[in-house]
Amino acid sequence: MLREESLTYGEYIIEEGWRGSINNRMVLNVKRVEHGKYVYERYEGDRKVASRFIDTSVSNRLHLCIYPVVPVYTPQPANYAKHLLLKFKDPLVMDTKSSLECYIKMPVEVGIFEMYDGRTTLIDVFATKLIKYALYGMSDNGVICRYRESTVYFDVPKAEPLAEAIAHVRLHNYLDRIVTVNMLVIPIEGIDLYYNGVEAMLDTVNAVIKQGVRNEIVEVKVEEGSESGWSKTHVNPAIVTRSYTMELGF
Amino acid sequence: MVEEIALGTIEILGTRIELLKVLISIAIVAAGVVIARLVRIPVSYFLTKYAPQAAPLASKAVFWIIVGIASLSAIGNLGVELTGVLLAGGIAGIIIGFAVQSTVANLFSGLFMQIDRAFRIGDAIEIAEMNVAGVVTDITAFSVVLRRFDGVYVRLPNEKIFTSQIRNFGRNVARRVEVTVSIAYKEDMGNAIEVIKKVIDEEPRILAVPEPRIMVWELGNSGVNINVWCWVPTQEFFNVRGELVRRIKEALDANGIEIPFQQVTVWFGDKGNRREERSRLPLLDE
Repeated sequence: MLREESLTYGEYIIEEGWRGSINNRMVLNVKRVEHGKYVYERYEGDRKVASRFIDTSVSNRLHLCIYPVVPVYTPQPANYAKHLLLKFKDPLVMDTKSSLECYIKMPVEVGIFEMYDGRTTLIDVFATKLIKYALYGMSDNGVICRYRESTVYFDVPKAEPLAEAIAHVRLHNYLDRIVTVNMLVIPIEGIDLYYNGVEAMLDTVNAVIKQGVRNEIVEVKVEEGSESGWSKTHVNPAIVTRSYTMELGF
Repeated sequence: MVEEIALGTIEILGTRIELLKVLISIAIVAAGVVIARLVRIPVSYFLTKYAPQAAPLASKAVFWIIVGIASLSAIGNLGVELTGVLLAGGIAGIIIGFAVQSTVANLFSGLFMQIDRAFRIGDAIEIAEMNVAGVVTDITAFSVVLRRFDGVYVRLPNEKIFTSQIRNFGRNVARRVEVTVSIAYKEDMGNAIEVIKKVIDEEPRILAVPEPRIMVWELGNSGVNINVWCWVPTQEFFNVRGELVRRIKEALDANGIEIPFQQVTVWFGDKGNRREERSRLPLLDE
């Protein structure tokens, strides 16, 4: 029987068919064409923008996972950004030897995965909102990042459904001077997000401002293990702590 | 022929040599082989890291040079006169040197290029002096192989590349796309800039930082020229450039902004002369 609903993150067991929509603007359509064979289609308005044929002859049902994923997949082939540059709309001024906790919004993409035997395979990925790129540093020594300008919040903000995630950030200033922080570069490749309905969240980002060998740096680390109680995506098989050292200014 | 003559000596090709010296010579060669192997390991490790293409050849050369020196020392230890051998070797070396001059030059240029690291396999490069551009598919001890952008295989000697100016399109992570857009003099420049800005903002592959620049660049012969500079990931340079020009044209058309053709207005200074000109061409008038 065909199920039709508003799109939310989660795992779906599909037998006959399924249809999910985002504000009637984008529609995902899955239908069984014959025994163990499905067709996945994505429409923007009336225009079909993606189509996949999925063979599930072994299980004869489709285990589909709709997950928030870090914004490194679109527009395809997009294999050149592994970091996210979050620029603060209002720079943070931090006192010497101080710490603060805040929240920022980051962009996410929506990944459609087929799950079989506990492993996920990416079928389709899209962004519901435009995500730009930015260059951190200079063209000869810099890094291409996904980019978003975000306000700094001190209470958990409301993120845009299916388009944004909340990142909890802990900043520590180990320097003997007051610093102004304008941006953070977060290593996001290979990180699983947490989800709850249409909301998404990143693990805690720990950023330490300190004196490096040549200049002042920020060591940014995404720490595994959130205690939110939200479900975690199963996109990346290995749990790896990601870190990045911002040596080209902050 | 080897024949035992007396205790502690042997005769090799008519020369009587002490057995101890023979054993020392064998030990020298064996020590040379061991040292050569030991030296080869760090050399190979270093070259694999910094000049991977040259590593196998160079590490073999290091091995055989050390073994060769050890062998000459061993022969010298036996009392064999090496002056003649070295003299002959020197003359032969000069002759061979002249004969393989370009080969050796290519070999050393290849080694220096590996150290210089001007490009890697997979980079898109242009050698201006040789009027060739393409993607590097192989770097050997003697040559660089390019796949030209039209798909043709090109082999270039290392020596010539080393002394040429190399433009590497893929070395840096971002490149600047430059597009000049001309609008008619009667059009509102501010409006045209807004239309172009919107196109840029809607293209995800155009970097937000560094910020794109849209500048009224010059008052041209036929229209006002607006320069658009925006940075893109290097891999996307050609895709974005083509797409950007198309989208700007479509957006200007959609907003009724005229892109002028090249125009020339001719003014005649004297009407009387013009009439005279026309009167001289009755056939054309008819």
